[in-house]
Amino acid sequence: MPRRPEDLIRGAIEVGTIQTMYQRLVQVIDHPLSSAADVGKVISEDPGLTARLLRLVNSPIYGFPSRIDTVTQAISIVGMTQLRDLAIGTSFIRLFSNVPSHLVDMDSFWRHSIACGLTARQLAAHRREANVERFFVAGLLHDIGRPIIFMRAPLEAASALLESNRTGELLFQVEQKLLGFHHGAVGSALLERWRLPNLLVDGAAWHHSPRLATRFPAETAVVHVADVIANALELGSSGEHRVPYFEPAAWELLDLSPTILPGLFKQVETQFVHAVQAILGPDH
Amino acid sequence: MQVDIDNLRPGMELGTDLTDAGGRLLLPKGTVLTEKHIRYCQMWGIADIDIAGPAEPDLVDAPVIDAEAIAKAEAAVEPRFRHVERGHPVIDALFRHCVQKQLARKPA
Repeated sequence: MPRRPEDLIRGAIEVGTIQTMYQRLVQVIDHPLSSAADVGKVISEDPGLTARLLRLVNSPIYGFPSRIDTVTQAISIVGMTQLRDLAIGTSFIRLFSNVPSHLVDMDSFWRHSIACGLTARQLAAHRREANVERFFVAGLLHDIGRPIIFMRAPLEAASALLESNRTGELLFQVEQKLLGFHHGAVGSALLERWRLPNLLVDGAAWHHSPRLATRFPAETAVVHVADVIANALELGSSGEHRVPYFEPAAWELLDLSPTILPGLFKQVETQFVHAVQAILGPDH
Repeated sequence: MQVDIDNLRPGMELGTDLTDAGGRLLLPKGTVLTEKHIRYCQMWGIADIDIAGPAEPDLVDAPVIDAEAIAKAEAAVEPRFRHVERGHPVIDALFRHCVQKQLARKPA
């Protein structure tokens, strides 16, 4: 039985290509002489990723009047760090193909992740954040520990699902009871090992207990609120079917008026359909 | 008159400039709405829009929904909200949104 989150992420999870791509993108972007074309070249080496990114920036979520045909064009419109963040976030989708399908429906898992990402992105836009895409990615990856638990500890995962259904307890609390930690700790250990930005690491770690987030309190609060909203709107599911624990202090930290919410819910529901098709594929 | 986004129909005309929260012009006054405009308004998160012309009673009056259907919809939604405090404005907005969707799903 696994004792620590790190035990679950050892070996087996093949992320070499994503990590390499991320390091190369950071290198290219940080280099003072690199241009959008250089960044475009790195991304364009992955045809699947390129197609996903172009579908996304051409979707009505961005609402650009003319067609964007190349990664270089997308960079000049969306921004270089923004497109890098989107590239990293959407690279994870094709991972986790060997998750036991009787435990979790990965399609539904990614739908929930996309819904949380879109909600986080909208909340960030209302907060006038400069780069809303990093919030999209933080939302997209907040539950990444869950498929790891399903893959690496299938017995405990199955027991957790059964017990959560039987008792009505929240799934993350049952995970905590059975494993000694929940998917947040697993996800953050994984993102940290891949050396992804600390914002993503902390967003995954503390999305169920945002008061413990000391490095990125506001960003984690956005992910926390977005997760509650995405669950309530029933846009996909990562295994949880109830609205998870909600921390009022996180909402207060965002300093937003509740009057924006009805419009935001409708906006997320409309964008959701387009984002799912862009990221998971046109037949979804 | 202010018309809720759900009640917009193609052919309606904007009574004032439509701007986003930051004041950026989205659609100018006088624009005759098409299906596409309405879709974009949903995408932009617009809650309601000022439409030119007198109020049309069927758009302004709240639709009559019987109390029994609402109670049923609330009962269907409630179990998913057992772990959260219903009194909080965020949770309240979510709950009401879910009840509305439940009502739309099963017309009384």
